[in-house]
Amino acid sequence: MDEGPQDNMAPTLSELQKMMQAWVLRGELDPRLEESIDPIGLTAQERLQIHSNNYSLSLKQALADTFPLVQVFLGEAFFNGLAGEFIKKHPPKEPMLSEWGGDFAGFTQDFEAAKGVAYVADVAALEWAIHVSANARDEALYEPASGKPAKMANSAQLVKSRWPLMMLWMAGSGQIPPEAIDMDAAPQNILVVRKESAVKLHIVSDADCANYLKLLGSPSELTALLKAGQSPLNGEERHLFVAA
Amino acid sequence: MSTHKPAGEILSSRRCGISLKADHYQAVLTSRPDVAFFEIHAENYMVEGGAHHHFLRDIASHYPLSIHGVGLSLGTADGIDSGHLERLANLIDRYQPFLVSEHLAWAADNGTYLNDLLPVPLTTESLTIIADNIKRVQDRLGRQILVENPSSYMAFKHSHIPEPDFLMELAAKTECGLLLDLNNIAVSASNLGTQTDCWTKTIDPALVGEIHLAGHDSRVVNGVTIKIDDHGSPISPEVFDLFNAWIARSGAVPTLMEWDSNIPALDVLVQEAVKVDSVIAHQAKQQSPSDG
Repeated sequence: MDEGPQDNMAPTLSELQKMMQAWVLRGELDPRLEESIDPIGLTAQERLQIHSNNYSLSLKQALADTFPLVQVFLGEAFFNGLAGEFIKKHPPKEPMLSEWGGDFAGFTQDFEAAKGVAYVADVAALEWAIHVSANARDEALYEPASGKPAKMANSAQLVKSRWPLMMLWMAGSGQIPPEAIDMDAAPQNILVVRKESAVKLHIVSDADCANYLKLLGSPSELTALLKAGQSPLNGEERHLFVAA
Repeated sequence: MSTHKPAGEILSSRRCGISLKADHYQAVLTSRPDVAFFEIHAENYMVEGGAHHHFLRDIASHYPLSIHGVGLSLGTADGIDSGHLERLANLIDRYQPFLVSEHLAWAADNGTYLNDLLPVPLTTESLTIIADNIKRVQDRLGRQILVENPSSYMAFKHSHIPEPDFLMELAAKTECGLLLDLNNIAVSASNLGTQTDCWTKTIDPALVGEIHLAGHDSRVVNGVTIKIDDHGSPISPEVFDLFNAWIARSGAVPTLMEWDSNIPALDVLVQEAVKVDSVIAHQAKQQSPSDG
């Protein structure tokens, strides 16, 4: 194959990719990148904008897929604005978008325009916990007779909240009408548990939260309690404990 | 371990596969649609456990599986990300697909993932870099991959190798196969003002391991119609014409009816696959009239 025309002005592939990245992430258009594009009836920038749009729209959709209730509470326009700012601040580092979005709840909490709906950050935290639980490694349940140590399942995720989070969840997912939400109701912490493939949510008290966190950090104490036949936590305990 | 048939048996059955979407998991297991295979996006299954693997394991026990990557970034100048290559290798080990494919494009650079199939200039430099990337991938996976022609929204002035020739050169240098996406050919030709017949003149059918068919959208940018490869609608008549012409000349290979956005009911995808099957069957009859 011919080497092709020698074009000493053309950027190398590496240079081109750095310039494209700067355009997609920050809207910075390097004149060398602009000059290298054949406009074919449009401007180079108009052609580059197609890729910027692909990037932005696809990531906004990914966030909407992971945080559908946040979009319900904020509305599509506000959510898209929030998502756009999040994408600029926290672009994905890996091709697995399933691992992107862990910073979204914290970002929402600090987002000035969302200060009036502060509970939405906790809804985002809950949705992320559900997402993590749903995709966590499958683990064998703990069997006391096995003699093996126990630990908390990777699929168990705790969300502490100062809001009536279960009520918000049920309203956002259409299980109760929005007017049933009582924002002055007692706070609700939620423990997300996965039983086989199904994710379930359980309200847990502050005392159980503290106990859960203590046992999370002390598998030996957990194992001892389970071997003694004691119930460390209330609720659906069987799927919380797995073989270490 | 999947009990799927080898690709040769799928070819002789002359049937079309469809994209596997999470919306359809239960319906697939309940209705067991008569499709040749399912294709997944690799990155969607690079999670450790849960429902995706639960359903995929079950579905893959009944159907051949094709794994189509979107994030390996074969076109990255700085080379393939080792971590992502390992994740792909693990997924392939787990499900033993009959086809593995990726794109002539790039998406990742310097620790950032740009979530799009970005274009590479079609130059000698790109050819060398991408061939090295493909060799590395095939060496690690211990198998051939198919490389797909992407949809193009722009071209570089310093490109000097026509895209079909570029893919043929990659195949010659690396022994990779080709995934011919006829929708992408139509979209790219429209967006760049090029012709589609160079593909049938240049591409060796023996190298084509799979064909993709899909729908696309259009939008107007400053008075110019740009086709967008969104895989969100039925196959267009233009793409069906390209498929008819390709099959008539080159014969059938595993063909995917691709649908990735605006996901309809499973039946809609299956009906599109039936249309594709009928084209394949019609061409087979044309070529073997004595089989009647």
